[in-house]
Amino acid sequence: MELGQIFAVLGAAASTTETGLSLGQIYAILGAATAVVLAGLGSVFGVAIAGQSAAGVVTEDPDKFGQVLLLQALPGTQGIYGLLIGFIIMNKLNIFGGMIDISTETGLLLFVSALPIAIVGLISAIYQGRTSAACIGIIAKRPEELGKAITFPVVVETYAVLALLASFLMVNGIPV
Amino acid sequence: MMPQPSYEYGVARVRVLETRLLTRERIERMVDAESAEEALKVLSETSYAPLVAELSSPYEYDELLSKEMKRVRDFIDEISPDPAITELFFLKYDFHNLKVLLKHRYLSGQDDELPLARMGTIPVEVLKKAVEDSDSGILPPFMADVVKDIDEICVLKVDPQRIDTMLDRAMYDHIFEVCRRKRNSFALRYFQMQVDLLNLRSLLRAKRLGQGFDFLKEMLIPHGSLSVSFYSRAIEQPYEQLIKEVESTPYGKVVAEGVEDFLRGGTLTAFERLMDDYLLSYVRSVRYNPFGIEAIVGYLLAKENEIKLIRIIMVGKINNLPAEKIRERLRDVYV
Repeated sequence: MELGQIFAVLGAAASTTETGLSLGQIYAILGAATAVVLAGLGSVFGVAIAGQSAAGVVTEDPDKFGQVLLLQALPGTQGIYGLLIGFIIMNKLNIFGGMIDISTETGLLLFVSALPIAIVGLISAIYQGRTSAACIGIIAKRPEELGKAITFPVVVETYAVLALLASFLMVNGIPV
Repeated sequence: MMPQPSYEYGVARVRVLETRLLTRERIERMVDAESAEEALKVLSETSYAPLVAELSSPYEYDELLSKEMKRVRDFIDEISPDPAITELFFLKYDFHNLKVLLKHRYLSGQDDELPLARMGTIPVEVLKKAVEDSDSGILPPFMADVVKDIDEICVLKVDPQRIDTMLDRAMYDHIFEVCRRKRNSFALRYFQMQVDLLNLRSLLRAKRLGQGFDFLKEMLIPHGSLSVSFYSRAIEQPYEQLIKEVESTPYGKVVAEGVEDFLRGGTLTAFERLMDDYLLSYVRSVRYNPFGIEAIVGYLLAKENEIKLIRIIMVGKINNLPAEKIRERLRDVYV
């Protein structure tokens, strides 16, 4: 079923039942879910790529576990950023204490606000994982250069942080 | 079947092992060692330590080296994310064995100890059975076909040079077919350079024998980057002209230095050493790709090279060659 059809059905349900969700609420929840799911998936791919490199190094040299773990964990942050934005949206909706009603426009705005961290998080985490994997190669040969090895993946991180900032400012600025 | 390891995993393992390759400094110390025992002592400070400990005398160094090579072979099999490509680098052992076995069958026939390599993709016993019983059906098709062709030709006339060339061509036909099918540009480039250098060596050999293009044509392997017309021209030209002509190709330096030494000493040893160094330096230049087969092949070639170096040093030390003489024969180091 197309997403549009789902919304139509849900929207129809909302308008016909007393306790149903409004379209605005559905958009807002969809935004929270998108941020968590896409950024989270990016981190899954990222840490998996770096993890395979880390496993290769530890197979031959278990003493390097601590250093390569640090590099493997770097692409994991995007998932956390996604959850953070998702959480703020949920909080705005007061989802934990009986949801407040919001207009369709507000809901859509919240959905769009979640997009920067969702999309940039997904892609940056994958590429950060690849960069980390390459930098784990530095640790394999020169364990004393951990500082330099961490720098390259951190440069990728910058853009995930910028996206988080954009999403955060937007979500915060939308009056509910 | 076990799932194939990923490139990330394999390359990372190789990165650690690269640090355990012998350094130039260690090799130098082995060359300068007083005796074979001393040279082995240098080796026992490296990752070879457990193998050196097993030896009862330095004369058994060959056993040490074949054990190490076997270990490398198993390691590559274990970590290769693309065995179809890494196997290509072991085919030379299979075809070496086929050459030995076929020539043994058609030329000598005596039951001597044959110099067979155990590193190939096909067990020596299977190759033996295939050649001795004319049962090529048990070989993979690309090997079976050429063995059958050789059997047919050798009924009429046995020509060892012809056997070599037919096997070489069959091997490279297969190698290039796999490289193209797999779209592996690294392997393609590597083997293309190898073919070019082998053809250049054939050219020098033919020139030394005073032969013409008809002779050389029989030895050339297709798939190289230098054209047939280049070889037909080069065979007639003086050496200076040849050096000038290859100057613009990537092999300019190898040919210039190789020919120089060849004219002085009359052997192709220097050219062969330069050939190996050239291929190794190519692999060294591309090995930093963290998501490709380059580093894994690079490690394999580095190990093969290292074992060759140790063998040259040990033979020299056992025969009391002066350090200078040994140094002349040594190749480049990968690290």
